[in-house]
Amino acid sequence: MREPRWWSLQAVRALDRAEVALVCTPSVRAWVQSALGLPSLTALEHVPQSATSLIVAGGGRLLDAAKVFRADERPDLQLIALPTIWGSGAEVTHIAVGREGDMKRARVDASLAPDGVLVLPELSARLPADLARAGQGDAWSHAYEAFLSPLAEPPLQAELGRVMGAMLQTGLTQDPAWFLHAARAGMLQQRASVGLVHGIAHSLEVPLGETDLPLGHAALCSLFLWPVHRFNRSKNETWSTRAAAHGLDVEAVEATLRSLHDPYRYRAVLPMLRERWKAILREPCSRTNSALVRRGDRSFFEAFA
Amino acid sequence: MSDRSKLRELILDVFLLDDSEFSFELTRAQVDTWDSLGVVSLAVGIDETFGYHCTPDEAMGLSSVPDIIALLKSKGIDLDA
Repeated sequence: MREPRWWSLQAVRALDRAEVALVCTPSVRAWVQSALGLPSLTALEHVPQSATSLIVAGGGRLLDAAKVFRADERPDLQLIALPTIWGSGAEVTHIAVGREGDMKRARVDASLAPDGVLVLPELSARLPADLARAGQGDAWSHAYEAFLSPLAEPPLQAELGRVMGAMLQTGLTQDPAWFLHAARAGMLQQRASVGLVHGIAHSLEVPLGETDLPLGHAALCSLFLWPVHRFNRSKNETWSTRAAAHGLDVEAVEATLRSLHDPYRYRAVLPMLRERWKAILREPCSRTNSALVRRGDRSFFEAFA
Repeated sequence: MSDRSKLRELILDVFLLDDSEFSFELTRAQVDTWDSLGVVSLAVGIDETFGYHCTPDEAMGLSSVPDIIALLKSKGIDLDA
């Protein structure tokens, strides 16, 4: 799977403006327009036929929508992803997550991978602290779950171990290095699989959106990383074996996962987890978890609260 | 719990089956969820339940419950004992 080209701001500004379309998430539209020197369209559907390049600035949801739009309707376009928040890795993967009924579903195809990525470090200062932290949980969930994936061979485990080491070194701070950590974690996880954290997130996000506790993907991943890690550890030795093999600072990793967890919010989400347990078991990501998730394992998560 | 019971519970959990759908003669062709994801789950489950780590080729080669029993027997885990 090819890696996207990493663009500089200078190179993007040098593109023929007559052939470039820009679509931005509203929260950063003015800033991105100014940074790129380009006006922004309000929707992907407004991209003119004359455009040969499409720059999309946004979070995972908009980036994934752009990937699908380009693959299905405008395969002629060069797609440059500009992540305005870290975490999803959408800017570098050939995976697009969308809604299908009451579930989130991943579509996987080489045609979905953006051609290029532009990272603007200054955007890190504009991130609300809670979203920045949730994004870090999203990135951690990719690295952690791929590291433990039954499909991850030792060389990939080693790369993921290095990503986790780098994330530990940066810490849960509003450091622009997180754009690169999340991108690396995203690129690597698509070479293996994710697991139960994502199975839960994909099963709960849509129904929670209709309650008074709407939690997005990143927030759910952050919330469930610690309980799922404890679950995995209770089932087999994969974590301790691989962590030792790749020299991971187990204490530091576990302290990080624990710090991303919110016990009060967890208890509030538990009723939905109970209700959606069958869906969680069937969710594809759950089925590639590093520990087998069984029908009776709901009790572990109920007792965890 | 006997090893045969453990295998039965494992198959039900891995392939998301109801009790009524299980038999010790079950084949891959009879189970929609015995897909590539099911193979991954099965390998993890066999390791956790019986302590045997399947190679990818072994896991891919399992196409029935008798195959699983035969594999385990070849590794010294005799479910008929």
